Amino acid sequence: MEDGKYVEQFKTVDDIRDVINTLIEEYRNAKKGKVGVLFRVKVPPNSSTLYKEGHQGNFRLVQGVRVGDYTFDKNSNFEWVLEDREAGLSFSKTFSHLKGKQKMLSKHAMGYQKPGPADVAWWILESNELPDGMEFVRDPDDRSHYFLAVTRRMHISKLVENLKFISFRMNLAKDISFGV
Amino acid sequence: MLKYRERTVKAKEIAIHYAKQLADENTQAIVAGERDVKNNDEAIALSIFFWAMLDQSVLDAENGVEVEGENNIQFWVEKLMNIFHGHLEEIGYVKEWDNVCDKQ
Repeated sequence: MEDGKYVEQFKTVDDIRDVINTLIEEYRNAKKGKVGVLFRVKVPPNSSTLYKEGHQGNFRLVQGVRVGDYTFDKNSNFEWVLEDREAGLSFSKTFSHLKGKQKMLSKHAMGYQKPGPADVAWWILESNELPDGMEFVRDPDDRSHYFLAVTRRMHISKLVENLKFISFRMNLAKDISFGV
Repeated sequence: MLKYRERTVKAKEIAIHYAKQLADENTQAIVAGERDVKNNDEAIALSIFFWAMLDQSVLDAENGVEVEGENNIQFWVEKLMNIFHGHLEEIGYVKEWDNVCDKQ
């Protein structure tokens, strides 16, 4: 079991607008204006942080990690992941960014013009500490977008262990637009 | 104006490629970072272009079409969403982005 708990469900992402905005408000206040909660869109059967073979798009997959999401030391035969503060899994800080991401991933989830479910997961920063060597870093291109970055060179097996740890501690809302 | 960094130069090339196919000259210039979005209509046009580019890029990927030497166009289109959304939010046109998004 890699994923956390499904605590909500929705038919359109607007159905959970209030849930998302309440979480943002609650945890922004708790952290005195700092980012308190970050959201991530995941397309089943992938977990919130790791991909399954055949469901990763045009990316090479190394133990469930897409090459491109993280920066690998190419001389290590994809065994080592390099520190890179401008790469990492995508997280949304605002409802606006999340909504765009959810639409984008849902619209062609099963192929061109074949939409499919895209769930929403979230990580509450004050309730959970990220593993050593990982940080949420703001994207220089978009203040509403964060990378779950590797900030210290680590072995791929350690990164996978960390991503499983994170995934297991996220709550989720299930997209039931296409049936339960 | 839309800014591209050294790391996102390929995103710029791909955006320009699709803008030539799918957008008017004004939006092409905005996408190329030659001029900025100046009003609501231009923000809406840029947002509409993004979704048209997404659709075309998925079709191209399915057909194995390389764009600007890239076969993983999805990676760059995801970056372009952050670049467009980030800029429109920064200059006060996120509502226009959101409204176009709602129609997808």
